[in-house]
Amino acid sequence: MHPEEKVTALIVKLNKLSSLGQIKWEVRDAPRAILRGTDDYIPLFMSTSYKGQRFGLFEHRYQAYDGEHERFYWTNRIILAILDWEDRALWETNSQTPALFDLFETARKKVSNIDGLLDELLDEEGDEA
Amino acid sequence: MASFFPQWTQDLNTGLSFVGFLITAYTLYEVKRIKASFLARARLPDIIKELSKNGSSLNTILGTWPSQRNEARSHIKVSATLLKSALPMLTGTDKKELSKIQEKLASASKGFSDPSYPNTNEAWDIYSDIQSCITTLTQVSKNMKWE
Repeated sequence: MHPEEKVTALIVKLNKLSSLGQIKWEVRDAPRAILRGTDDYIPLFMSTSYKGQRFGLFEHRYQAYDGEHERFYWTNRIILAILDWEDRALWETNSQTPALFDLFETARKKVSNIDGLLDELLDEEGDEA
Repeated sequence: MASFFPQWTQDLNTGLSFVGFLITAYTLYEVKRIKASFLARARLPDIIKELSKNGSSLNTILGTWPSQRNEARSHIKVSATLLKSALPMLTGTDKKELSKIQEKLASASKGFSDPSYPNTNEAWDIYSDIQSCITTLTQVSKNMKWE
């Protein structure tokens, strides 16, 4: 199997486990090890453990350089990383794939419990309370 | 009537005609290949984009499986059609692998008449196959930039 396909298979597996509730993502502050020495910003950082490995999943906002217009601009990317116990990123995904965006959406839905929240807000019986 | 040209010129003419035929055949093959390459470069990014959208919609549906089975069926059907249109642009093992997945998706979309199909794992396998196809097509599209 091609290395890119192995990464996609891992991402899909994490997505499936997240969707089925077999792994839980937690919202945390972004580790200092990732941001130290940069102006970058991480608006949402989630982490989980699976088979003894710690995973970090986050949106990374950073400045890129536009050579044509000779200026910096803000952009973002989604990253799945394997972290050690001191939150250092041992490995990161290096491409933006639809599978990765889907995993991010699933994990974000799970940590926000948006489905449960909407059900609760739309529950008519609870309106009187 | 005796020929004006000597026999060896006629032999040379026959030989050159044959070489000309081979060059024409090779040129036609190359034109077809270049045409397919241009078509792939123009079409593959759109197919990948559409396939990605279908995959993401399926991902959303999988979160509440099996409550939106019919919607899932239409996304799988569209994915199978998109893959079918990508197959002529592929060669070798990529074509074989994606052809198998295309057949699997096409038959999966037909199998929805059985209410127990696909179960959660089978539905996730289909989603996984779509993502695998997107990865392969993305690599093919990147390689084409260097042709």
